[in-house]
Amino acid sequence: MSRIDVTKDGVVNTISSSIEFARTVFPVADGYSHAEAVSDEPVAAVLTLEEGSLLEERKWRDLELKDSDWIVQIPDHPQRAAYITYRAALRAWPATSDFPATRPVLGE
Amino acid sequence: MPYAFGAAGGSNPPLIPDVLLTVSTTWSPPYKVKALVRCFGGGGSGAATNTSYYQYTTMGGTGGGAGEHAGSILELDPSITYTIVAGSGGDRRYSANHNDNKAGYAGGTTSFSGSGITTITANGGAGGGFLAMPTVGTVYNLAGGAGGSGGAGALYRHTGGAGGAVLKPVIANNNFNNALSTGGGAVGLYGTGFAGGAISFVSLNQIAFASGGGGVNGAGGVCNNSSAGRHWSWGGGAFGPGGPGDLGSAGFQPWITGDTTGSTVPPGAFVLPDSDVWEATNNFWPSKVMDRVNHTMSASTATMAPPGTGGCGRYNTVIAHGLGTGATLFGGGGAFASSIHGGTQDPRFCMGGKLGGGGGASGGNHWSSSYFRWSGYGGDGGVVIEMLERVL
Repeated sequence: MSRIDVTKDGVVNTISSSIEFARTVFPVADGYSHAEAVSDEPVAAVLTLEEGSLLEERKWRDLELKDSDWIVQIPDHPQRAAYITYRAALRAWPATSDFPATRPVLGE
Repeated sequence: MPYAFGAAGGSNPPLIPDVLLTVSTTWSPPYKVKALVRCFGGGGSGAATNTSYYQYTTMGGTGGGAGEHAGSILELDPSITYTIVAGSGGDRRYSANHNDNKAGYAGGTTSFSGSGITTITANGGAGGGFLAMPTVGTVYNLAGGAGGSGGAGALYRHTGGAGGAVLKPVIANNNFNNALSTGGGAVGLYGTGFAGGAISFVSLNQIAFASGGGGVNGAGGVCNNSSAGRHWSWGGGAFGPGGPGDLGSAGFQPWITGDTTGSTVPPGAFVLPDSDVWEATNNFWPSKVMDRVNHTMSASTATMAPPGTGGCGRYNTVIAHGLGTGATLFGGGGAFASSIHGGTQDPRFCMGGKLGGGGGASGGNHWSSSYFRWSGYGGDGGVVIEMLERVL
């Protein structure tokens, strides 16, 4: 069953109806207009949960790399070596079987 | 497609079963009957918000209001064709990117008309709203979507429950990142409907609050936890309000057989609000499936939430915290909120219950723009014709 916008004098009433029934009950001759209600939900842009998960994990990976970039620029940072290893694991992660279920972990 | 419910009133047989119509159509009784005709406006949908961590703001979004409930006792004649116009629930909103915030849509008006009777109309509930709360020291208030009201031609009218409100958050730090989402309102079966759970915000950073939807006999649980993190509340129930879920209180949820204290996590399965489980059963009205003395449900429905239950608020993940349900008939949808870590939403839990429940809001505050959000649909309106007696 469709969602039909029935409009008169600028007032919209959205009803659950066929377009034919709406036209019968609310005649054009009485000043009504009718249209299928339009959703703002772009169906093509909606990802499956699996696709969404892959995208989210890649975004997380990218953010981790971005946020740790400054650390490897500091030669005497106490965790520099650990971050170098961690960042290498992050870069390689999408091509491994651990992706996306198991995220790389920063070592000691 | 009309659904026929069993267990019509106890008048002299034969009496046709009660009838529920959730789409616009025409209908005539097979013989003259006296009936209580109830119209339910469509529920409003919840707001959808989506905020970037780097916006450093607290974003509130509220649930939609429930549809109005209006009824009259009428003599219905088989020679007359009655017209039912079923108001649609407000369409859910889709927030695709950061700062793509959207208010909910209003539900549609439901009516019952025909020759020789006064037309009954029940208006839909309003959509939920949203408000950014970025400024330190400012007190903000954000109302939920208003319940449907102002219909006409009925013996009685009950205003729908409002969506949950966000109450007086005093923003104490302009670097806060918070998502506050409230549940939808419930239909007023016995009087004005109960609201979705309110959020009383405390000054914390990186929190997500998701309150439950209203139930037909109690509001959704309040979210006012003063500790950091993510918090949620139960929906209201058929016999009482919901509780603040993550503080250990489930509220009064009497569908748990043997639990009269409301302290047990419900065993019931998640029930899709558009399920047809109510078709051709006795389990339509909350008062018919509940044991008011022992606070339990009849055996046939003990494994699921009863009609009139508000949806559970949820945060951050599709995985249930506890096993809270979605809204059932007349109940408001639960809210969804996520903070910082995004989380993937299951939007079905935000849906308002059929016959006018308001939809829950959804909101997120996180790094990634890929965390799209859906708010909850408002429950579709409809007409229930309760057969009282055959007119000879």
